[in-house]
Amino acid sequence: MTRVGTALAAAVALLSVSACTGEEPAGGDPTTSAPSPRATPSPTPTPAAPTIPPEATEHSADGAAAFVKYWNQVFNYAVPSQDTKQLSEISAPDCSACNAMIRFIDGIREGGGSSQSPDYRTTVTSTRVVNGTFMVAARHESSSYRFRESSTSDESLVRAATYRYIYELTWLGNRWLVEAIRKQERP
Amino acid sequence: MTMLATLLAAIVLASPNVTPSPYDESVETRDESSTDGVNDPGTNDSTSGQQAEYRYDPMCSPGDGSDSTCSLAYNCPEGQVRYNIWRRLPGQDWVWMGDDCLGGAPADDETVPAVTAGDVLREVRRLPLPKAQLAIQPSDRTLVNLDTVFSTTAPKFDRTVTILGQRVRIIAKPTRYAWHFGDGATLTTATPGRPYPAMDVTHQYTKADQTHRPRVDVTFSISYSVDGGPTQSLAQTITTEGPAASLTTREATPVLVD
Repeated sequence: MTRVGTALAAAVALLSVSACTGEEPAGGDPTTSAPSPRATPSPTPTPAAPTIPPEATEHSADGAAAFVKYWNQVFNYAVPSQDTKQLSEISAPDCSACNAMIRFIDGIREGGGSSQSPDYRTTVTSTRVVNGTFMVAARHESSSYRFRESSTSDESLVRAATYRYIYELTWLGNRWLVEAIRKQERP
Repeated sequence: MTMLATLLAAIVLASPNVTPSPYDESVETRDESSTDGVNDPGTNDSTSGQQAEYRYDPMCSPGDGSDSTCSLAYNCPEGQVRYNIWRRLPGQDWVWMGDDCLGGAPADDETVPAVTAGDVLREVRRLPLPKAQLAIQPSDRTLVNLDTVFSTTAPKFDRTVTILGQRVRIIAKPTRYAWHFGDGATLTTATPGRPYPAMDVTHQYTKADQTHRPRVDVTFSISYSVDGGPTQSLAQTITTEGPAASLTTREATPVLVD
């Protein structure tokens, strides 16, 4: 193999590793990088729309916890599929965080962008009741994922991370609704 | 530039921008000023230059709760109650700071927490509001190309509930009726209609031998008062979807009789 051939193979290998791990290659500078090729982020296989488990329809602490896990399954589905209908149905109209997430996904779809799934893996750490409102504290571990906001924008990488949120749920008499999501800095 | 250098530069240029999670940025954060946890109960803190308020909600008063999760509130030392502790900076929403076991009720000189419109809205959704039953004349079966009369009884809602330890009277007043006749036609009125012989709300079906599922949805305006104080209104209305009735359409056939 020639030196150029060796370099090309190394470059291809480097790119492959980068794509697999989702890590930024050394030397990448987010503030100065030029537009990258317009390839669509490698799509994660879009799973089927999740169905609500029976336990997530129960008016109890366990039911609230199960519902928060279900909400995040729907979120994991909505991001790569760009189908936010189900997420909207289980979020209160005035849940500002939910709306912002839904708007972001809708914006990607309308701009011709694409995204891999954040793949939130959710662990509920506590459930409490305040005047009838269930507060569910949860920890999410996400995979690293790539997205492109529109067909003309650069590809962005979000590194794997852990997020801690508190979900406020409202019971509508026959089902749950996410009323608000807040950051949990002191679980 | 050598071919190798060009190739490596291309690799660098092709690397994606590393960005924070756009979804995490969508989530409301508590105030940025401190991670100091929970201050002493009843105190203000000004770590950000702004006065923060605190409030305390008992998770569940021993002997007062019927929800199974009340058991979470009982793992405090004898005589103490577990409180959720909330903190708010001026102009911002309440943020949950954690919980703690405190002895007895909060001190008398603590600020009574304000019942916000959001608290009331959440309570109304939880209750929830009544649905309107549809009255149809003629009922069950009607004739095409003739008026079918629809009406309902204005649903009433006047409840007094406890929110943040205060008595809150909530009154929901129907302000709009959306009639769904089941054949795709709809009509919106400000009144619930009256039974025949009044003809306030009528509809003519055009196809015979069809079964329709008409219903009426009611939009409520909400007002409330806290501990007998001034009446306030919620900016947001709430709509309840009424149960669907069943209505079959028939065509009248003239018959000669002696």
